[in-house]
Amino acid sequence: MKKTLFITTALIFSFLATIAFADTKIYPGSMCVRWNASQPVPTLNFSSINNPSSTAWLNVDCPFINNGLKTSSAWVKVIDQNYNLNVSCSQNNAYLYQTTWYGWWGARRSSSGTNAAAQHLSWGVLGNNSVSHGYLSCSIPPVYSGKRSAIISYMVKN
Amino acid sequence: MRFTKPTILKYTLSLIGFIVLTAAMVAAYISLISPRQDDLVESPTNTSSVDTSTQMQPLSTAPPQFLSDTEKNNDELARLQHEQAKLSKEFDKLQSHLKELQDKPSTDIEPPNQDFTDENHEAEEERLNAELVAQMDLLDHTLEGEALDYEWSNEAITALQVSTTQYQDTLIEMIDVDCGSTLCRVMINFTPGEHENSLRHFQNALPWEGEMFFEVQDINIGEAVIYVSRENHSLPRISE
Repeated sequence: MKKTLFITTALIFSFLATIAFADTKIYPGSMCVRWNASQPVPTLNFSSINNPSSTAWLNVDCPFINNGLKTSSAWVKVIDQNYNLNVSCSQNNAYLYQTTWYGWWGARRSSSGTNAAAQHLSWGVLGNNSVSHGYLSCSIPPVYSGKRSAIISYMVKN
Repeated sequence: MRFTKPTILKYTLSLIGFIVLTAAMVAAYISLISPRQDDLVESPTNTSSVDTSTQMQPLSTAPPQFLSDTEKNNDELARLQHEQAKLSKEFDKLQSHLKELQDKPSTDIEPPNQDFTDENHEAEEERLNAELVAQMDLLDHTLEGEALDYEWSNEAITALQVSTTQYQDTLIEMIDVDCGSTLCRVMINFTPGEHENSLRHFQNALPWEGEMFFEVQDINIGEAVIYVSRENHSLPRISE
């Protein structure tokens, strides 16, 4: 009886703790920044970021906040309107100790098919530490038949 | 009747229950009648158009048959006024205590991640680095300890060699590769200073969706160790 009561109490508390400490944040695509000046200059649409170039890929990093907790899940909402190429992203955490870089990179996810509707690329738990910095690294393909591909927004849950 | 221990306990609990129930009923009664008494005695809004003494008159000049009731009511009123005065004092005390707490400097509250904002920063970084070294040891031990999946291992090694070949002349050169059944360890050389591009290319060229953990000892030397998980597998992590 006591054991059951203890387990029930522990379960309730762990459930409440999960609710209390879960931290979900959604960022607009406009948070993403291109890797360097040789990338196409992105354009924004409702604060989503898209690639206006008809020839070049747009590679961007999309930062997210490390609040000292483990990243439990993440997704990025994309629009892929290129019939030959896909939008792809990976979720990354990086940390520099003196001269040594460490990094945790989630699997690279790619959109499938071609559609004006949004698609979600998602990840589960990814390693980090309390002082690493996190970002999604994405590649947006060029314009196809006048239609642009884009990153709408992204979510990270700790 | 024998008063055994369980019997005594049962009666004691019943008695406590009875007392608590009675107390609750009394409290409910007081809370119900107190607003009416307040209205009679203190409420300025209700007495603004009526003289208080006139309003209280019926109580003192009540017919004899109601006199005992009136006295009881007056006693109750006096008791409640006394209680109210006590509560008012208590409220003042709590208010002053609250003010004291609010006036305390905010530095009393520990900031989050305190270790990374004070002088413990270096020690904390060393601790984290030790964790990462342990993480790499874990990955090495896992690779060495796991049973070899020949088919997957051969396929993975070939795919990694092919995928890095396209960057060999510019950025990446694969030095060594070893795969078990759930992960691979890849050692690469890259053009010094081009570590970020090299690793991005490596990741983009990875022929399956695998999680990666890497270490680049010194970006000016151009060597990296990369651990890659098999598709639908996660890399093992040290527990903190």
